[in-house]
Amino acid sequence: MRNAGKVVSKTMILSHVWEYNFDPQTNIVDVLVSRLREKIDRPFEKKLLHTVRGVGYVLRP
Amino acid sequence: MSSDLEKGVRPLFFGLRIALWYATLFVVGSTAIVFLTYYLTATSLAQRDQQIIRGKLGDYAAAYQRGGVRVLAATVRAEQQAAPERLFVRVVDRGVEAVVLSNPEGWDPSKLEIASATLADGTLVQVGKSTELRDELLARFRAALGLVTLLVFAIALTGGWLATQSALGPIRRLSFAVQRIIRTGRTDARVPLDGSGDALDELTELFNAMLDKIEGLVTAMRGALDNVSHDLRTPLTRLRGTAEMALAGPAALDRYREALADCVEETDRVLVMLNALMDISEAESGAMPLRRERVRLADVVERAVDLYRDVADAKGVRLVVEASEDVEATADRTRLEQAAANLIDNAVKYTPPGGRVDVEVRGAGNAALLRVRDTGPGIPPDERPRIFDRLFRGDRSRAERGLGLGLSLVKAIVEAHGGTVAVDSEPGAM
Repeated sequence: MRNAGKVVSKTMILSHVWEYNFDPQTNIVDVLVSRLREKIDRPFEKKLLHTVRGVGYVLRP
Repeated sequence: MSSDLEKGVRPLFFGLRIALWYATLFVVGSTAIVFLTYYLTATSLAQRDQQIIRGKLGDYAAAYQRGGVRVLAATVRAEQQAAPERLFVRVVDRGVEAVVLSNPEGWDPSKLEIASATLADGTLVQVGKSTELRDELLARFRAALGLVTLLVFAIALTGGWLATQSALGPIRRLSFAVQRIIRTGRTDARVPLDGSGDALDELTELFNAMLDKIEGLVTAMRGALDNVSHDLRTPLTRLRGTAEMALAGPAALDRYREALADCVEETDRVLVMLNALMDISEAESGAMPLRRERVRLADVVERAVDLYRDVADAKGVRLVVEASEDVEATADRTRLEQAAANLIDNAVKYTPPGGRVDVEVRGAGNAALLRVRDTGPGIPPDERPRIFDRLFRGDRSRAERGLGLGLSLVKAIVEAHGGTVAVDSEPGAM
């Protein structure tokens, strides 16, 4: 929740979550975020996880 | 042009220099022999003359002692008439009176070889022999020797020249081949072998081997550059198209936003590709900094698998790890993880849903083995040697998104650590 309200890039997510400092070929982060979205957003009316196209993701109430 | 000329002339100068050295040694040797011969001949001729006049001197001294000047004069006259060569004879009586008994006409007293004997009563008897004949003989000998020396010099120079020419032939061919390559930039020229199997032939062979190697490298680099240019052009063209469309259409914030997002995504793709290319060339050239430490391969694999667990799950691919806990390697942890991640990435990407990816770590003698197996479609035999090439994508892999750089990076990283990569595959029915 440290970055709530701020847009975080895929690279930031990769290096924070897995401490990976290189580009994976597959879009690992997209898959992860879509699974997260299924868990926290799909059951509810109000969406929290938003995609900022081209930049990254943001957690916004 | 001047440098070209210089290159062409240098072997000739080299040949001339060797020929001159050869000739100089030859001439110095033969000159020494000639001088020795001349000296020995001259000395032995002088010795023979001395022997002759000393013999006569003995006879004449005895005749003088027998009957004084008169008997001596008679003896000399009698002898000189019969002798083929007349000798110079004189008697000096106690340093007072000189009696010349024989002084053949036209003889120059300075050109005489003289022997003297002082008798008991103080009388000096001298016998001289002309050195004119001897000098003439020696002069002829000198002329002959000079001619011989000149001849030897000429033979030495010609011989040396011919010998060095034939020895320098292969060097010159080598030099011409190099010049041709420098001038035309074509590395497919080869230097013909003369089949003698000597050191020069060996050098030529080595040179040809070096050319093969350079040609291979240049071809590979040219191919890589072509591929990179081609693969960069596509995303950049799309990028430009997107921006152009946005600018051409009506001004609307939403459209701009959309276009910019497209541009950022496209740029990311290019950057990913460029980063991977730079990593590969850094690892291949040995410029990649490696922070080596003892690394447990099981940890490396675990972290890489962790990264792809969700992707595999989402795709319906089972990711199975079987890692020996005690296998260690001295390696850069991050780079090794990168390599492992790329292998797993590749396996997961090309394995259809319902398939399975096996990641295995075990010790193999002194080495550590990391093996990733999948139940994907497999790689046809003709593509197998090329899958580690930069930007190579097999015919069946084109459906998937990818750059064709993952496996090249794996190979580059593993080889930078002193390891090897290999592929084995049985193309399946798919």
